[in-house]
Amino acid sequence: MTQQAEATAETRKPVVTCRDVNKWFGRFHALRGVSVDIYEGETVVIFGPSGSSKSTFLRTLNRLEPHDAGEIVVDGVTLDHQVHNLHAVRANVGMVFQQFNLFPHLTVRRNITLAPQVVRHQARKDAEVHALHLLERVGIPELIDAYPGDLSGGQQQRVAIARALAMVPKILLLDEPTSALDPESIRDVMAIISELASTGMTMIIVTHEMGFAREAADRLLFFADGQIVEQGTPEQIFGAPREERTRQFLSQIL
Amino acid sequence: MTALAPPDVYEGMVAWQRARHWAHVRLFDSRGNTVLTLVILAILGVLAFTLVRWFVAVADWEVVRANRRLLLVGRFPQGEEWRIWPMVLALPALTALGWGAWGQVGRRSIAAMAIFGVLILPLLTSGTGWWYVIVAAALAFVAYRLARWSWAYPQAHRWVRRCAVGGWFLALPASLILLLIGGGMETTLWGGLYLNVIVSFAAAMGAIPLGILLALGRTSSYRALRLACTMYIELMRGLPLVVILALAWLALRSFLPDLWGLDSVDLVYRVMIAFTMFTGAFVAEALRAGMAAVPAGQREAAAALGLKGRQALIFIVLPITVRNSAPALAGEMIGLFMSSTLVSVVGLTDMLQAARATTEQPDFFGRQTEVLLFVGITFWATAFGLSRLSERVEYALSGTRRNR
Repeated sequence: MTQQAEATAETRKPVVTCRDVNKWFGRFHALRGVSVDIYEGETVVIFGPSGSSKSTFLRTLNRLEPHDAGEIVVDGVTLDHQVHNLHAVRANVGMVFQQFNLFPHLTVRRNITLAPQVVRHQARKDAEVHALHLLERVGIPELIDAYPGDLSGGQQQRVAIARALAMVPKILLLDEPTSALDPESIRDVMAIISELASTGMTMIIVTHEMGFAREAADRLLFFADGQIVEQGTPEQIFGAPREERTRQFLSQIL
Repeated sequence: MTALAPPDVYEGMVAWQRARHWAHVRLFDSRGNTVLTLVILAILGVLAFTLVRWFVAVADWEVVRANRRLLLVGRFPQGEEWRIWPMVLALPALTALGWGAWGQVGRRSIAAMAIFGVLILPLLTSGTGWWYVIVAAALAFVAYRLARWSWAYPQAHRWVRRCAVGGWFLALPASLILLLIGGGMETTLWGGLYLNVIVSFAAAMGAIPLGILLALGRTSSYRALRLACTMYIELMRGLPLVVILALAWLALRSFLPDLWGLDSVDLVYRVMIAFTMFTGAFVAEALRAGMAAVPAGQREAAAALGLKGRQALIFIVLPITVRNSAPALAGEMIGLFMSSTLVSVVGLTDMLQAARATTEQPDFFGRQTEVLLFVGITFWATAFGLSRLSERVEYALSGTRRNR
């Protein structure tokens, strides 16, 4: 899988293109000239020390955080302050959050079917059949009528993944999807994400799960101080990191 | 793994031993608590004795029985009751339908209704009135059974819920139309409890949408809109309701000379508008607090799924806001219903005003206590119902199936 993606990446068109992206929070320079292309079917893992603006970068890709300078093109649409069809772009870019962010007043079923019905104008029946299918895929079809508050963290995150997949997104953004989970749930959720990666879903994942990065990622981006310090295949990053900063970080966490 | 039940301290005890154990642990476990228990029991005993003696030996409810028509509908003309009865039949049925569609009637609720029925109904009705009561109860029972039955069929259940909500929205226009069709009724003849109910119902139906708009306006990113909404809210919250009512009654002419034809608007409608405007400001603040408590992650999740601002508002933000604000909103609605007794300052005869009028009847001199107590119990029962309703709303939107 990794070699395949590597071989074909050059011939594919990028689905996400970032050119010299900058962002400030007040006087804090959060993103300092990030440039990267993400290709179709790629699984990209972003890692790095906390406070290195990994999540901020991920959130600029569906404009939950507007960037201040540079260019971001997602799925052929340039994201800037005059983008007209931002909702359409967001509908095609799924997102999974660290804190799940399920809608607490809706059942699991409604959490998953709401956006397909409201945004895509799907018939309720079709949306519900799809929802059940997705829940089977993440292994919890029996919880379709439960409320989020009655689920464990791992179950909630699986529902959140199903909810994102219900829109049949072209790109899936995962913002530390397992950071709020216990070790056992981390394994379950990561298994689902690996399975997704193997089906050719384009995914960008911010995570601290280095085992997952080694096994499932096509490419790793090492973030520090709002910049991509180093990128490469897992073999290269884990085996022979070029930058001192990368070596230092890896030696701390491995 | 078998779950261990918590140890049963009462194991092997007969009833009186349990009672003794309970009393020993809860009431007489130390010298101080024993003294406290005895003192409180003494106070409660005296209170209970006084109250019971008053109810049994002193109270004479004839004043309520004789004036029930005045208390309920004021100076409503004889022969026009058909304008009211449909709503009296429909509202219990709607209540039962909604109750069944979202929950289940518990044993305590049945007990409360039974007590209320035995104590209050005989004062309120006699003769043919009983037939209406029986029909209303039967309709309510059927509606409740229907709603409970629908739980087994999702499609039907959705429709029952839609009917219940739609029915409540139609109830006000329907009752107004009934009061006005076929020659209509002078609004100044509306009175009694029916006036309290219809004025506060209308104000509630107006104040909640108004409050939503004001709360959104006050949190808007447009400075002018924010400023205007803030000024409106602070102005309304700063004025006493009596002043607003009096302005609606007398002074509209001086401020708005024939501008929107407001002057020719009927007094009762002006009162409804005044209540709406006043309550709307308070509702807006209750909602704003609830809106501030909606986690940012919920809005982000909605946006990330491609929902537009308005869609996110309707499907995500407002329901969570209403859940957060439900207790405060119920407080505002109870307050609204209580303040509807202030309509007497503009010369309308609501239930409280009607109660005052009875004290001038020579037959019932010195019977104010009974009438006022009756009015109080009626209002209390309604307020209690409203707070139970808010509990249900909170639970329905709470995101859990666990019982509380």
